[in-house]
Amino acid sequence: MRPDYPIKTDRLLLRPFTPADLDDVHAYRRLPEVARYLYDEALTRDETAEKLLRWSAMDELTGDGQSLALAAVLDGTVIGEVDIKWLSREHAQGELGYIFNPEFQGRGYAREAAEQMLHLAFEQVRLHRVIAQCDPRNEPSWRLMERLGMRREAHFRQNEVFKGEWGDLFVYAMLAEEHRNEE
Amino acid sequence: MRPDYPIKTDRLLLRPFTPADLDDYAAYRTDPEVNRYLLTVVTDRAGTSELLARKAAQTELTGDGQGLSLAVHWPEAGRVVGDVVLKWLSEEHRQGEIGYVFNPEFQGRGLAGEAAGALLRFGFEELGLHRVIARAAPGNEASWRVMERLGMRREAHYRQNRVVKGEWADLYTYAVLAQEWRARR
Repeated sequence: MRPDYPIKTDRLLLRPFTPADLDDVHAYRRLPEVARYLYDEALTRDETAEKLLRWSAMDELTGDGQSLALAAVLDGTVIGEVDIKWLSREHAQGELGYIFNPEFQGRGYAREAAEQMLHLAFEQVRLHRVIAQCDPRNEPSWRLMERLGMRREAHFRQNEVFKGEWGDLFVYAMLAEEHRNEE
Repeated sequence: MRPDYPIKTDRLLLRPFTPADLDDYAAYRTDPEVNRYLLTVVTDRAGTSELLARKAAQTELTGDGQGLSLAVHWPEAGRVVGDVVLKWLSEEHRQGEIGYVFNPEFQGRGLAGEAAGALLRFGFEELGLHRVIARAAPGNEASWRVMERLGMRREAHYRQNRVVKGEWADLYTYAVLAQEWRARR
């Protein structure tokens, strides 16, 4: 499954990454506050460039374990990233993720991009269920999951060592039929 | 890490399976009611024998992803009445999972909880686990009631996260932390 690019939302374009996005992406991926609840640490410019190279190839879904990773572009500037991971073809399950530049937060851009990705996941990839996960301390992230209509299905306590301490995990989920009611 | 066998509880002996357990094992493992909530469905003696051989080899834990599979022998009945498993999910994060399958003929006596409790003890005290989970279908109430009696908390209710036997199925995950388990003793 390869979407027609760019995917348009009211204010944004979603399209595959290119190496030319380095300045825009590094502007937020270098920030410790952005990396606080990611498995990644704050990235050096070289690390961001390496990631971009990998992400550039994630523009279609052909099997289990793959991700569609797209740049969210506002007036020519990449302000964040959204992705859908195909967790299981057999069970029609996927996972939504998003990371945005704090400079552009608070204006509903993440929600706009994430809604579009959910639409794509359910209507084009034909997934049955989409999950999203985050650290419970990352309240802006799970508040967005709730605004998207996702339900909290799990609160795992101390299920892993995260950045040197025991970390919890929230798992949110949405079913295709819930998504159709939401839209 | 290999437990000293048998692991003894008040009423039970937990020890590796042997080929001589086949009759006792097949008596419940081929039962349709027992198979209903299990992913590996076994319907005949040959299938049971294969599964028993795999379980008989799971007697020690040396790394991530391995499991201990033990027969639960009840001397009072003179036979194997169920089996239990402890999986080492992650060495780095000190996580494990327990599971159990019992002969319905011997249910309602707290035997599953007693055997599973012995594995929890082994997981926390000997293996040094930080957290142990257990999973069950919401419809399998007998199973998750055992988890609750063991002091495990329901942490997840996944809705329709997989297809089991042709139908969308839900899944409960229960968990207990080492500190919670110690506080109950």
